[in-house]
Amino acid sequence: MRVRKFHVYLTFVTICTGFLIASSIELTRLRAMERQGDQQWQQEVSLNERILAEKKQTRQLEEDLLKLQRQVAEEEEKMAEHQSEAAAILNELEAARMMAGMVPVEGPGIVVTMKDNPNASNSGDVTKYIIHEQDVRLVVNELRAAGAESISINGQRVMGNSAIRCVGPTIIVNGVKSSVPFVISAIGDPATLENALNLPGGVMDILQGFVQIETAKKDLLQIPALVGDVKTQNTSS
Amino acid sequence: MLGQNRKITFILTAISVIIGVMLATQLQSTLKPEKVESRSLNELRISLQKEIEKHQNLLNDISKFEHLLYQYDTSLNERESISVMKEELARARKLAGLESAEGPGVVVRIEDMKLPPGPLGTDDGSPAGTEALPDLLIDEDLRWLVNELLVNGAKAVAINGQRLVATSAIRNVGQYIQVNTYTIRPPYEIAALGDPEVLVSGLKLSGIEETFQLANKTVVLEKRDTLTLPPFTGNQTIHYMKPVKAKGDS
Repeated sequence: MRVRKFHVYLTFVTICTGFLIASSIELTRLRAMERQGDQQWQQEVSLNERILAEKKQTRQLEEDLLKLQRQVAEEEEKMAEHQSEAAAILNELEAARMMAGMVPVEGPGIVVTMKDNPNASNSGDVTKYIIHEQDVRLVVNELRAAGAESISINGQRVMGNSAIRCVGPTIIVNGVKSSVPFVISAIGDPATLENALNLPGGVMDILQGFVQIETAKKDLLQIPALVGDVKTQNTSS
Repeated sequence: MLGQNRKITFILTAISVIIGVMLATQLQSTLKPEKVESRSLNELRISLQKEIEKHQNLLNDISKFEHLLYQYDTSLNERESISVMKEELARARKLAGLESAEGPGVVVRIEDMKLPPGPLGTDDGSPAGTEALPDLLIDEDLRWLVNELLVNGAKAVAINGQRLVATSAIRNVGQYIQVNTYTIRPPYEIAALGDPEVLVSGLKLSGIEETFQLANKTVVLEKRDTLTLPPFTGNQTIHYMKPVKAKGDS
């Protein structure tokens, strides 16, 4: 009887010791991890700061570039005034620059806005009701076929060698990521572009049942120049 | 009696210590927070890299225009400045895809799939592998392929000699596919400039063979050290767009 009581006490005490040892080991490990997490957090903050600084700089550079382009254009126009040969070349040059996406362009056109279906999560087959990259490609292709002269997706100029990729709810054009809604701007004859999308059995018919898609004609819209794409930089040199 | 008692005590001690340790570690492991920081850290690093890349490209662009401006300013006579303009025109035309382009790359040939010889072939003595399966290829297959090439770093692409530019559409018209409003017919040959190794492995990874198998096509990938893409020859008239001139005047 006395022995049994002793055993019970012993068991209790040893369990407690075991627990204490283990928890202290765990605690020191946890602290080390916390410190590591702290370090990571600091790294994150500093990275974020660097990204912001970098963004500020690139914005400044973009403005500088626009200013330079205007100066160049002025210089070229001055030359064109003096000489008819220069004027002819300037016309060609302006056209080629616009086609190459080297300068921002403006003109009439339409804006197509695509969104995932808000009821997607309620439906049985979610994948049917969200936008896929082939849907974006389909719209871009149709706009091109209808004579769009210049196209951008969420502010990224779409060139002949621009890759369009969807990863989850984001779209990557020219390597630049942006999220829904996908806004596709196209310069061209607004009526022709809109009609092309609205053809029976056309893009709107195919997509409208599944995702939200809207078109709006615009008298004037601007499409930025292609900036920051490594590929074109390489081919040009 | 006493010795036996000691033994039992020892065993009990050992077992209970083990149980205690197990309990504690189990409790801790359920409370342990998940490690998610490293992933977001990676993402941040990638976006910083992108931003630096963009910065670099902007600097490149700026230096090009600065150089151009300098050349205009220092040209002594009109003929010289016109030749500068012509050079700039050549550069712009190249970027726009209006000139032929050369470099290493790959050629993707999409051919009709033949009925495999053997048990699936015909038994009545007629040569197996001559009868083509129905052509199920549609425009989206080609658009997908072109996009996969571009995703893997292709700099320029041409389909059956039709260079793809910013205004190029690929679409079904009747029973054929049109590129740049020109009708192309099988077999299709897609040429792309870029790093051949990266392009080929990228295409294989994205399942190009399986995709075209569904359309009864076989795919042949060829790496080339030099490849020449023709210039874009389609419609180049511009009616609607014009350069933005007013922006940033404030």
